[in-house]
Amino acid sequence: MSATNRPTPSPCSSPLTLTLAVSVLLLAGCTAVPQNRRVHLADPMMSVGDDPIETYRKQKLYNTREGAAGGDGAASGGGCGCQ
Amino acid sequence: MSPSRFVSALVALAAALLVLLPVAGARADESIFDPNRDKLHLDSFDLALTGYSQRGNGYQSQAGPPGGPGSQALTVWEPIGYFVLKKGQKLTIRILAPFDMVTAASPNAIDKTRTDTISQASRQNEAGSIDTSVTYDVSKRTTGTFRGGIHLEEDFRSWNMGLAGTRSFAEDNTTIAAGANQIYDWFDRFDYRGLRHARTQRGTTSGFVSLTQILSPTTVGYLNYGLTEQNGELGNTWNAVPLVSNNYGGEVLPQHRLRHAFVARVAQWLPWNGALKGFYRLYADDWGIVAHTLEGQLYQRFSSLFYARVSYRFHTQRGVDFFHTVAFDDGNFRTADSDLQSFDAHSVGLSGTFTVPQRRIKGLEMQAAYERYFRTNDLDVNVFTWRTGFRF
Repeated sequence: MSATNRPTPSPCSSPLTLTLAVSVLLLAGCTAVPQNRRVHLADPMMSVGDDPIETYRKQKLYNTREGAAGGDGAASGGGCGCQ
Repeated sequence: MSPSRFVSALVALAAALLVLLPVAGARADESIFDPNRDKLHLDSFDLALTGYSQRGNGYQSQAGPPGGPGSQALTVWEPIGYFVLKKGQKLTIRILAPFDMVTAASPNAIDKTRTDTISQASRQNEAGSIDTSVTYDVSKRTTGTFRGGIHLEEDFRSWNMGLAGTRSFAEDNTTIAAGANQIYDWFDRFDYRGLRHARTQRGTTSGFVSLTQILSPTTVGYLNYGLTEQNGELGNTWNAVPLVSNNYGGEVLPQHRLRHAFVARVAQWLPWNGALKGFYRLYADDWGIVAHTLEGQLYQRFSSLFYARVSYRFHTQRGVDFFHTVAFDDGNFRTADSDLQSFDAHSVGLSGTFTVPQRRIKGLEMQAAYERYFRTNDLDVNVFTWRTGFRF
């Protein structure tokens, strides 16, 4: 079976549309939190992203083992993924 | 909108964030070249050692009975150095330098009697990367980042560079970011028998837009959409495919791939000095893969010096349209790579982070982590990490 037999997902289909829709909902329901009420948000445990070493370790573990890994638009070095 | 136009738009948006928005706020005395500014200094560095131990079988490996799945056993030792340098309040330079030492059963099984077989890469492969990023806080609300890197393996060279910008609004309650990256890989083409066929290449262009939103004094949300377009040789070139004729053949893959990924994260502070994080990712590409990933992380702080984390991740994917464990030799697309097959994957993790009080430096942080990854098509990986961080 050829890969071209299946319709190509459009950039305007689910992921992008979903991002925009959820963004609108996210922004619509929030109110500004002043700086002096963000003490809990400053804790390292509350970071919404991983630190660079953790990010790299996850890339190493998943990108070379899952065909669906990557594609997030994030920068990453190359490598044959021959593991 | 075509992928290339989308990425071009992202580049333009990042450039606008970097250049246009901060102009009004920049002052001459804030120049990073001002000799009176603080000198470049080391702000922190981390040293980590990660070990990966993998067991399993896949039909792309020849390390097994003919026509059957072969071993995918491998061991990786990976020391990583991560350095953060700062100059004044505005300039931050980050350098990530990982090095890999890999032994793998799958490439090792390729016929080594061939003159031009994969040489040392089949038995032990050393690889190293240096990734640098330079972030400049052009104003209180705007940052710009330029990044570049190089990756070296025995038969493989890769270069990457990128540009990103962030802009915050509403007293930093909302932050948007956008960026684009370009990767170029240049490597030897070995077939499944170990014969080398000169050099080949692939290019990867990617872009993203993201939104971080403070939802309450204890809740943060994050959304990201990424688009990646790849062209060129998109396999490792030496994966095998069992054929109906009881022989092996090589993979036949498309020369183009367009990938979409949407990510949503939320972090919620818990009243007992804990935090709960949720993660969801939707992925789709034009090879036919559709995947969903869910992850939960629970943090608990036991003191100001120690916190622990437990995590669980579930990943399910529909494989590519042209996956076969036995294929016809008819020239159509084909792969037997278990990573491109339909499967479910589970991952459980545990880590502890301890801050050691110090007099001479701001902090000494130590972290131990373990993760076990296993999936339904016969693959499991144990990952151990030890990390020491110095804060100045």
